[in-house]
Amino acid sequence: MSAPTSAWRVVEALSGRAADRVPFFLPVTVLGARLLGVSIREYLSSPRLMVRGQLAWREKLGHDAVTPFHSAAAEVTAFGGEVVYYDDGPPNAGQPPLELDADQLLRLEPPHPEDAPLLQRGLETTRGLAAAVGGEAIVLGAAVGPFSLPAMQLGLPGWLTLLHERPDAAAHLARVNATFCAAWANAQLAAGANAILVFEPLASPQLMEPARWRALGAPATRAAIAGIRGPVLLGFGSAPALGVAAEALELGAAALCAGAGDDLAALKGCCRGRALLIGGLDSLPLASGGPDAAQAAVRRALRDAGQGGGFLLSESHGEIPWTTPDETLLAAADAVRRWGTYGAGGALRG
Amino acid sequence: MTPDPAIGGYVEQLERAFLAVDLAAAREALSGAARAVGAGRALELVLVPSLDRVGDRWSGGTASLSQVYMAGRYAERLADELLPAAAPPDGALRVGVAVLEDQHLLGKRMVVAHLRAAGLAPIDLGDGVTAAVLAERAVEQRVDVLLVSTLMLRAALAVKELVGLLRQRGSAAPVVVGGAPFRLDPELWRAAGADACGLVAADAPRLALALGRRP
Repeated sequence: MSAPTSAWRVVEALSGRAADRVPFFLPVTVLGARLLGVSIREYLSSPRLMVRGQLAWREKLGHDAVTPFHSAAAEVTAFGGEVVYYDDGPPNAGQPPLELDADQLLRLEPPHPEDAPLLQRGLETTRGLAAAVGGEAIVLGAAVGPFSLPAMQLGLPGWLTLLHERPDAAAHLARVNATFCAAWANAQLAAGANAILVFEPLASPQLMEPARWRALGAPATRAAIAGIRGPVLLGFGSAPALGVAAEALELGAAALCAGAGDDLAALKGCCRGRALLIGGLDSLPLASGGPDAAQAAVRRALRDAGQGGGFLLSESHGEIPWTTPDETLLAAADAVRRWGTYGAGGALRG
Repeated sequence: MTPDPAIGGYVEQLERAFLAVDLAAAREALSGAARAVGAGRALELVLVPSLDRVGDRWSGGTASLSQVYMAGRYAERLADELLPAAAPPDGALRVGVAVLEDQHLLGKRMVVAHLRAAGLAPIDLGDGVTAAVLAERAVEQRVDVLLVSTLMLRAALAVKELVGLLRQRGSAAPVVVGGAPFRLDPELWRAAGADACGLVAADAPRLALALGRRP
């Protein structure tokens, strides 16, 4: 019998089953630059370096996926936005590219992701990663959800104002973004990604009143997911997911990601038999807590959500903070291998 | 003086209007309060407490950030309608506000709305500014207290540099920080060298007044 692969482990978890151990992925994005000793800007400008960085981290941590993710801001470049780089953290979106003008927004049409040079480079990174891992590990693409992308297109104050004062234009922008989101995700799948993580933080009731999400957000997110020709993992940034989990599961996602401070056991209850649950580590405690705290957090997560399969341990924001020490990540990875192995019937041995 | 018992009714009415994101209803509630107790007292006794209540609901998980933001935006508009903003008089507390390092403006907008609703006249020191630029502007503007909004962890960590630069330039202005990193890591504001942390925008006027007037 051949050795279990990372891809098999994740597929089993997606199917709600327990493989040999809990699959895990620590989303090291810009940390690839640190590992290779280059600047973040240089790293993110080079698909070759990004592939090397992802592979080097996978070798170091032994986790089950790689990602071509550049930044959420990269997607806004397709709408005329800019990316602002820093030496010590992930890039941000610059000034919002769209005007808060409802009539103009009602005429907006979705751009083609392939027309944006930064997204083209993302596809090159995806192809490089897919070729390098050769099906052994999951290549996890990413896209910003249609209801959350306007926070960068208009700025969050502008988007909230539009949602409340011109819901017709807000609904149109969300529809445009749903088309764009599906197209960008499908381009990544065609380039070799196996699944797409869609970030939709504004679905969280911590950020948006549920009635407005249901009226204007959920239809767009549902349309985007329906248009994506592969498994969609739905994440909420660091925003809590529990309050929206039951409704989010109706949108067609294959997995839900927990947010910071979420009750993992309750979320596992929502997801059981319906979707994979992803999460367990919160980014800021991970950055500052040290190796022992990371191991304790892994054990808590395994206890709360690991039994019986259907769980992938990861970090809740979708990006490990730049200041997180290597030792902390190595300790977390070690803890999953030590306490996350499955025995008979999907019981955790740890 | 004991406030008019009817004031409590206006506070509830305004809170309901804010939660429904209904500007017309909010205007009606505040106008009623202004007729009852005068414009200045209506801001103090009705507008500010109702904003506090919406902020408390967000902390307690029964309101969204979207409702808090829109309440602040409408409060600012209504305060302007009742008492148009004027330049701060000589001797008034000089409260600087800024977004450090990035373009996430929501927090600062909410803080400005709360400060203005509380009768303060915040001085805008910019968005996406570096620690060096912000320190320079704060010194130039002779701020008594500096309120700094952040969203990303790296911006929160840059507060330490900001505080160092302010002190190097001879400014003793207390620095109050706010934003997601400080809510998620309750000890981060101390590590960053700030003087206080606001967990919700409604904390801003209280902290500005308490720290800015410190001898």
